[in-house]
Amino acid sequence: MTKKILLISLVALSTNIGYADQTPSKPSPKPVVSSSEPTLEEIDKRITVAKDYLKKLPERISSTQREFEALAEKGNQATEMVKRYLTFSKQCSTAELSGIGEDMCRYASKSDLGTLIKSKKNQLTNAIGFVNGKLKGLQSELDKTDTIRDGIKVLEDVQKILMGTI
Amino acid sequence: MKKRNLIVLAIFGCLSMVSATDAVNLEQYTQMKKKVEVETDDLDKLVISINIQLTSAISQGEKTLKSLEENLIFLKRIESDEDFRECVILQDGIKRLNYSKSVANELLEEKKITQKQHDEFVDKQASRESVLTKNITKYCKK
Repeated sequence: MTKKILLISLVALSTNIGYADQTPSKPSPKPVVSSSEPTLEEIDKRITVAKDYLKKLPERISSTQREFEALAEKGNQATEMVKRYLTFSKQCSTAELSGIGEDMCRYASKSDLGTLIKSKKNQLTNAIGFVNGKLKGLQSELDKTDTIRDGIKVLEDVQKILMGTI
Repeated sequence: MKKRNLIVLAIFGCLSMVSATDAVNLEQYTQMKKKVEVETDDLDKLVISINIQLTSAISQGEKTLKSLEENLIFLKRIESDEDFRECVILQDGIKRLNYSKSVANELLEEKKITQKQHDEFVDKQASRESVLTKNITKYCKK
C-alpha cells in the first residue's frame, strides 16, 4: 500500500515537473484579479472589438465615398435628362418634322415634363438627406477614432499591469 | 500511516494542478503580451490614416451635397421660370455648336473631310452661334 502511494506521488510530482519546465521560475506572473476588477479575458475582448472596428473602418469609408460618387453622378444625370427633354421638346415645337422625327416628338410629348421634374426633384431631395446623414456619421467617426485609440492603449496598459509585466 | 499517506498524496495532487493552471495561463499571457506589443506600433498609423480618409470623405461628401443642392435648385428653376428654360435650351445649343466645331477640326486633321467642307460647315455654325448668343443675353438673365 505504501509503495502504491509512493508511486502515485511520483507520477504527480513528474507531472508537476513537466509543467514547471514550461514556466520560468522567476518572476512568476500571476493575474491580480479580484471579483470587482475586469479579467484579462474581458479586457482582451474589448481591445479586440475596438481594433476590429478600426480595421474595418477604412473599407466602410471607401464604400461611403463610392456612394457619394454615384449620387453626384445621378444628380448630374437628372439635370442632363431634363435639359435633353427641354431641348428635344423645343425642337419638336419649332422644326418642321415628318416621318421618324414627328413620330418621336408625338411619343415624347406624351410624357409630361412636370412629372419628370417632380420625380427627379424627389430623387435629389432623398439623395441630399442621405448625404447629410452620411456626413454626420463620418464626422462622428472622426470625433471618436482618437478616443477609441486611446481606449485601446489604456486597456493594453491595464492588461500589462494584470499580467505583471509593468 | 494510511491517513498520512493520503494527505501527502492530496498535497502533491493539488500542487500539480496549481502548477498546470499557472503554465496554461502564462502561455496565454505571453501570447497576449506579444500581440499587444506588435499591434500598438501600428495603431497610431492606422488611426491617422483613418482620420485622413475620413477628412477626405467628409470633403467629398460636402462637394456632393453642394452639387446635389445646385441640381435641385436648377430643377426648381426650370419648373417655375420660363425664361430660364429657354436659357437652358440656348446654352445647350452653344455647347453642341462648340462640340461640332471640335469634331469638324478632328475630321479635317484626319483628312476625312476637305478644307472646303470644313469651312462651309464652320461658317454655318458661326451664323447659328451668333443667333444663339443674341438670344442668350435676352433670356439668360440672372
